[in-house]
Amino acid sequence: MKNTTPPNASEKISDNETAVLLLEKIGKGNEQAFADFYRLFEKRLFRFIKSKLNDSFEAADILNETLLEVWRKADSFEGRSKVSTWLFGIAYYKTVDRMRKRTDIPMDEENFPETADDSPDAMACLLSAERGEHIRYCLEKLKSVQKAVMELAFFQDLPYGEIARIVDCPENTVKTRMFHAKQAMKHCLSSRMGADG
Amino acid sequence: MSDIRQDLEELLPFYVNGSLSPEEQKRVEQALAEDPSIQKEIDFLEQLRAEVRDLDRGNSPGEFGLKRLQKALKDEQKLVNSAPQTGSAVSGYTRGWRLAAIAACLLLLLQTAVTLPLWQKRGDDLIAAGGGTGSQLSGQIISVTFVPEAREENIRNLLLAVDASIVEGPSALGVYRLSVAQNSDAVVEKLLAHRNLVETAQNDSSGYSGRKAGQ
Repeated sequence: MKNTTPPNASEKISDNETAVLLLEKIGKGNEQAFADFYRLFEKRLFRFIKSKLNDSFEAADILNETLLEVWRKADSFEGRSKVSTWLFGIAYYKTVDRMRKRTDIPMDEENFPETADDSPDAMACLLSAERGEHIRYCLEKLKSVQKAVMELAFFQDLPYGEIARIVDCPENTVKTRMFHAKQAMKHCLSSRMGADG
Repeated sequence: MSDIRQDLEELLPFYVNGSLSPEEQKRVEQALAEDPSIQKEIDFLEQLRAEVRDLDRGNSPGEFGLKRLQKALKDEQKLVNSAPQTGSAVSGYTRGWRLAAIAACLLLLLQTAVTLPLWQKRGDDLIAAGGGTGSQLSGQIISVTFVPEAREENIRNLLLAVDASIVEGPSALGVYRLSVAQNSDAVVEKLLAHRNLVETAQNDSSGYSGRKAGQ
């Protein structure tokens, strides 16, 4: 069963329509449209890239490369997906490519096991005064693939079908990755609580 | 955790971000009415989402980044425009090297044309590292992900048992594409039966039919 667009779809459709119009102009070499396109997506795109790389300079490089790709390929966009899906897909693969070239970032490191941990400590942690600090620590410890899916689901609020198209994998894989990310967060938070206690 | 419960829990992040279809949303709400413990999961995910949204990823490049981008565009356009001029200004020395390179390419082409048929005749002294999967590349394709705990030895035995070869992957999300010689639907069934190894399997040959092990 495929999921649909979020409840605030009217706003997002409007964004998409704007982006499609801009892309058409960019395809004809309109630099002002390109600047508008940049301003429309720059912040969200940078944040997404940075969530995977955790390096502002490299994230800015990839943002630049991604938008140059938009300039070169704008006329090949066929509208089979939302513009944001197409754009984030380009950024995702450029980021993954950069990570492959960097030896200091393991692509899929096991920072901590993904075994389920439903202990009440994890829940209690969220009610503690330091919950923000704990959660930020554990979010940074997630695998890079989990970070990407979580960023797309919780910051961009995308449906799993659209995330699957961005990262080019089956929809079930997106749901499973998100499930494992949640389990890993619980496990990490439980460990943190143990360490504090 | 039962498969039904996990299926439901996998929907919860998308319930929290408000992107589920009406049917899926109804399913979650029904489950919530029957099992109040699901509310705890939802509370957890809502907190998580709030923290992700509050997470400071630093300042984006903003207008500075746009200037950089515009400069890169101009440089690229200059390069394109100057390409023919550069060609006309090529020195005699460079031209000589170009001729030498063309001659070398022609020689290589000739050598390949002569030696390739000889290799094909023998057929027993050059074997691809892929073990002869070439004939299956155009066959039926399945996308599969393995559980994190799966061991290479077990995956290998399973793939040998279903006569499947890895033709692509892993992708960044751990997706492998398999080529299979026999009925791909039957192979998907067999793969999914090994739920201790296979997380998801999808027949790419006949449209979307992605499923998880145990469904």
